[in-house]
Amino acid sequence: MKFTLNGKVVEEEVAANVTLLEFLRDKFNRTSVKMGCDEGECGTCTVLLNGETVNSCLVLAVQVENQEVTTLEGLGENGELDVIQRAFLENYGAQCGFCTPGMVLATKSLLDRTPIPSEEQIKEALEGNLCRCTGYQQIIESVLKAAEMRTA
Amino acid sequence: MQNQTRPLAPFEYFAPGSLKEALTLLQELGAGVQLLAGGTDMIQQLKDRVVRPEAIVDLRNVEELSIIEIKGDTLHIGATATLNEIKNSPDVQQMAPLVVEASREFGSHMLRNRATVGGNLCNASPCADLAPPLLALDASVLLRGMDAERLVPLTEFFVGAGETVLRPGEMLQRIEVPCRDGRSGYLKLGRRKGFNLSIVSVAAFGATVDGKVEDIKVALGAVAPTPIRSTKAEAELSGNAISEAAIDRAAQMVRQDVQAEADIREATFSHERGSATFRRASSPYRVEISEIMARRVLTGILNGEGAGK
Ligand SMILES: Cc1cc2nc3c(=O)[nH]c(=O)nc-3n(C[C@H](O)[C@H](O)[C@H](O)COP(=O)(O)OP(=O)(O)OC[C@H]3O[C@@H](n4cnc5c(N)ncnc54)[C@H](O)[C@@H]3O)c2cc1C
Repeated sequence: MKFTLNGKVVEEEVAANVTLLEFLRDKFNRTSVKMGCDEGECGTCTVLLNGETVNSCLVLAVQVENQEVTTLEGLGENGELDVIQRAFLENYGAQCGFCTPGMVLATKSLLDRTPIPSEEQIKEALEGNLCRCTGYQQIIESVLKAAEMRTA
Repeated sequence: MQNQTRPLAPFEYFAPGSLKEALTLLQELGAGVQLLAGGTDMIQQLKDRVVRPEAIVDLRNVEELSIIEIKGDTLHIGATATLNEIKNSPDVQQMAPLVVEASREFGSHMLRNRATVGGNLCNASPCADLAPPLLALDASVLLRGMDAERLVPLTEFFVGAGETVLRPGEMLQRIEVPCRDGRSGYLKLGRRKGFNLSIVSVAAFGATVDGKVEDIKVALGAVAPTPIRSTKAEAELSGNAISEAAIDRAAQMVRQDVQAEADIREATFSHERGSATFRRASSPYRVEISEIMARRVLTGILNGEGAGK
C-alpha cells in the first residue's frame, strides 16, 4: 500500500485489521502518535489526514491508501522546531507532554485553515484533545502566540 | 488501565469506487459483511468484538453517497456526508438549521471530521444525536438494494437499540428532508462538550404559516431504546394558536412518554442493548429533565428565538 507520510511517498504492506495508530507506531516508529484511550476520546493519537485532524485509533491503516498523513515528526525542518512547537514551549503549553503532539497537530490544522483564530475557534479545534496538566489556558495562549508568530 | 491497543480480528477489506460496485459486493459477500463509513462506532465495535465481520466494505470512495444538495423543496443529505460537512454546508444551513445546530453539539471537531450521518442513523444507538432533529423535521431515508430502493419515513426506520429496518444487501443512500418555513429548537444534555454522549436531547420544529406557528413536531433522544417522537405532546400543539398553557401541557406529555419508557425498561429489563445509554443517568432524573428541556425548547419556538426555517 502506498501513501504519503510527512511529505514522502512510502510503500508498506499492511493487514486490513491494523489501525493507523498501530501501523504508524509499529511499522514507522512514529512514537509521537500516542496510545491513550484507544477509543477516540482523548486525542493523544491525533494525526492529520489530508490536513484534517483524525483519531488514528479509529482509522484503519488501509484507509489511508493514496492519502496524505502527517505526524508531529513531519513538522519543522532540518531538526529545527516548528513555530507552533516553539510557541508551546515558550508559553508553557506543555507539561508532561503526552497530549502535546496531538495539541500541536490540531493547532497546525486550525492555523492552516484559519490563520488568525478567535478563542472560540481554538476551543472548538482542540475540543477532542484532553490535557490533564495545564488546565488548557496556557495551551490556548500558546495557540494565540503561534498564530501571531506565523502571521508576523 | 490498559496500555496496549486492542487488536482487531482479521477480515477482508474492500473499498469500491461506485455505488453499483458497493451494492454488488454487499450482495455477493452475504451475511458476513459489514459496511464501514467513518468508523467511529464500528472500529470500536471491532475492538470490543461485538461485531465479527468476515468482510468490510468501506464506503469512502463512493462519491454518490456523500452528496448534499437541494432538490426542489427537499434537502438531500448523502449517507457518508460527515458531521463537519453537514455543519459547514450552506445548503443545510439554509434548509435545515436544526440539523446544523445539532451537529455543533456532536462529538469533537476531530470526531466530526470522520463521523457520518449514515453511520449515526444505521448504528441506531438510542442516543444517536442526528435522529431527534431529523425526526422533528419529518425526514425520510432512502434505502438502496441491488435492484430496488425504498423511501422509509425515519419514524419507521428504527426498530430497537442497534436495530433498523435495513435488510441484508441494503444500504442507506441518503436522507431526504422536506423543507417548510418554520422555527426550530434543540437542546442536548451531556457531560462535557467534545465527548458528550447525550443523557437527553430534545429537538422540535414548528411549521409557520404567515409567520405564525401552526403545529410543532417534538422528538427526543436517549430516553427509549430508539429515538422517539412525542406524538401526545404534538397533539397539544397543533391546530389552535400555540400558547404558554399549551406548552405546559405538551411538556407534561413529554414527561409521561419518558416515564412510560422508563417503566417498560424497569418491567422488562430490556435495557440490555443500549444499556450504556441508560446507565448515564437515572430514570427519575431523565423524566424530570426531559420535561424541563422540552418546555425550554418549545418556549423558544413560541417566542421566535429558534433559527428560522
Ligand atoms: C469520542 C466519541 C464521541 C462521540 N460523540 C457522539 C455524539 O456526540 N453524538 C452521537 O450521536 N454520536 C457520537 N459518537 C458516536 C459516533 O461517532 C456516531 O454515531 C457516528 O455518527 C457514527 O458514524 P460513522 O460514520 O463513524 O459510522 P461507522 O462506525 O462507520 O458505522 C456505524 C454503523 O453503521 C453502519 N453503516 C454506516 N454507513 C451505512 C450506510 N450508508 N448504510 C447502511 N449501514 C451503514 C455500519 O455498518 C455500522 O454498523 C461518538 C463517538 C466517539 C468515539
